[in-house]
Amino acid sequence: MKFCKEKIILLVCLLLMSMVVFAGCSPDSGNVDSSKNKTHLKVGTDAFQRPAVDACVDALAEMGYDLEVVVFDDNVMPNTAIMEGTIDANMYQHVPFMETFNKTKGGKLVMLEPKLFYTTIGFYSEKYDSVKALPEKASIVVGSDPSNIDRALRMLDAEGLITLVDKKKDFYNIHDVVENPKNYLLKEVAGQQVVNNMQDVDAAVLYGTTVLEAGKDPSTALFFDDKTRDKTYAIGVVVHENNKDSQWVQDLVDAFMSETTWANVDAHFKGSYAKAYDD
Amino acid sequence: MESFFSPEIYDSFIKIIWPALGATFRMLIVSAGFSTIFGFVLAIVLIVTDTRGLYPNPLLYKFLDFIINTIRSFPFIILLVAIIPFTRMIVGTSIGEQAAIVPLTISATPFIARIFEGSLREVDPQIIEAAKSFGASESQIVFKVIVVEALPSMVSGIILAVISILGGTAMAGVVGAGGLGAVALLYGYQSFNTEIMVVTVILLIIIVQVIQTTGNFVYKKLR
Repeated sequence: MKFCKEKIILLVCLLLMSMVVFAGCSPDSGNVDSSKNKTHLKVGTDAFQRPAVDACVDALAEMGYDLEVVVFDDNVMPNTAIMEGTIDANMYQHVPFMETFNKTKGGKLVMLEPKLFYTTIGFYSEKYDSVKALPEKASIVVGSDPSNIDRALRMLDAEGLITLVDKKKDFYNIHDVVENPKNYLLKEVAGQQVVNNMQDVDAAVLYGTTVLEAGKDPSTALFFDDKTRDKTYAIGVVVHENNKDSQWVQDLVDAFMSETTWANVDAHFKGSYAKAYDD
Repeated sequence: MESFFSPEIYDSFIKIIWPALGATFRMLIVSAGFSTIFGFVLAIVLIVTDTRGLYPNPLLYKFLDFIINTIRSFPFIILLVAIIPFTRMIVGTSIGEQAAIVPLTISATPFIARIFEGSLREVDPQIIEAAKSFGASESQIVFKVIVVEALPSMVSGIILAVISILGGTAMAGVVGAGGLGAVALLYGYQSFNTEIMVVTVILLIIIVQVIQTTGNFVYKKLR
């Protein structure tokens, strides 16, 4: 009798486990929101961008919506969540990253215009005063995720520190560097990890927001990235393409562009975020 | 996108995966080596200062017990960041492979100490009594009797800890230490490159199998 009971318990556990596994493999649920009276909005984001999303809660409330912010630990899940229908929209990424997601994961995401915010990105060093002063084999931190590493490398290429391979790629990585005359050591570490440990590296490509949050002055960069490229990397509201003309989507974008929202964003990011849209 | 048998995957292997394999190995062996030694010393001190040990010292025992529990409570990532000043003192930097070895060792040492302590306690008291009756000195009892008897169990414990350290090396990418875990995350999952993710996971499976098989072999030889 005892043996039978154990077998049954084992089978039930296996069954539950396989249900959990297969639940994660659900295909695109279509995700068309046909409810005319949608008032509860679920917007996904990552921990860093969260304050920017929290910022529009008042503007949304005025329009009759209530906002639920969903924070994800990584940078792919907010997109898969839209495809699975567990959230309505997200606000944390730029177009190049979204397009790579669409291409490789069969996503059908679109970014609403206008794009909302962008941050400055600069080349910082606490050991050297100029790029020329960097020694041979100087360590340069370029970031720890593909889109930020790509951006940092393009910036270094534009300034002439390195040369990237000619072939067009979505995301360049450190193995795409074909010329590196001073043999710089390009380190794949997160900006947030490095900003308080600048003494352990020779230089780092950092976002203005990261530098500011560490209590340092973002204007001390040895050089900044091209402003026009800043706007390519602006973040905005992303939804499933089936929803892009829905009323709640337009209202969400409007809420993000309101005065109160901008006041909240600026208060938190203290000048390191700029508006990507024209008032 | 790379297919499994394209020249690009071979290129990725040479440039990205192979160096990462080396980094993982180095971090694993050095951390495992140091934490086994330190864990062993700690375990010996624990069983000797225990109330039923040779030199009971409740204060020291409780203190070590507390330190061990505290270190083990830290999630690895938090420990890694929290001890950065200490890491810098030891290896001169908070970034890179050597910088990862410090928190890996510190988090594994108490774990190994606990495992060894358990193995040493499990030694049949009758064997200890027999050794005492033969006139063995205290240090002989500890090192030539208890440790020798507990050795097979301790080897199993080391294998357990080594595989746990391997998991820790996956997070060493946070400080730019590289390694298979970091590659799987950065070049695999975040770059939407399934091939690289699969290759690194397969490599990790092989490594774990080899470690476990080696451990089983040594265990049998010692019994």
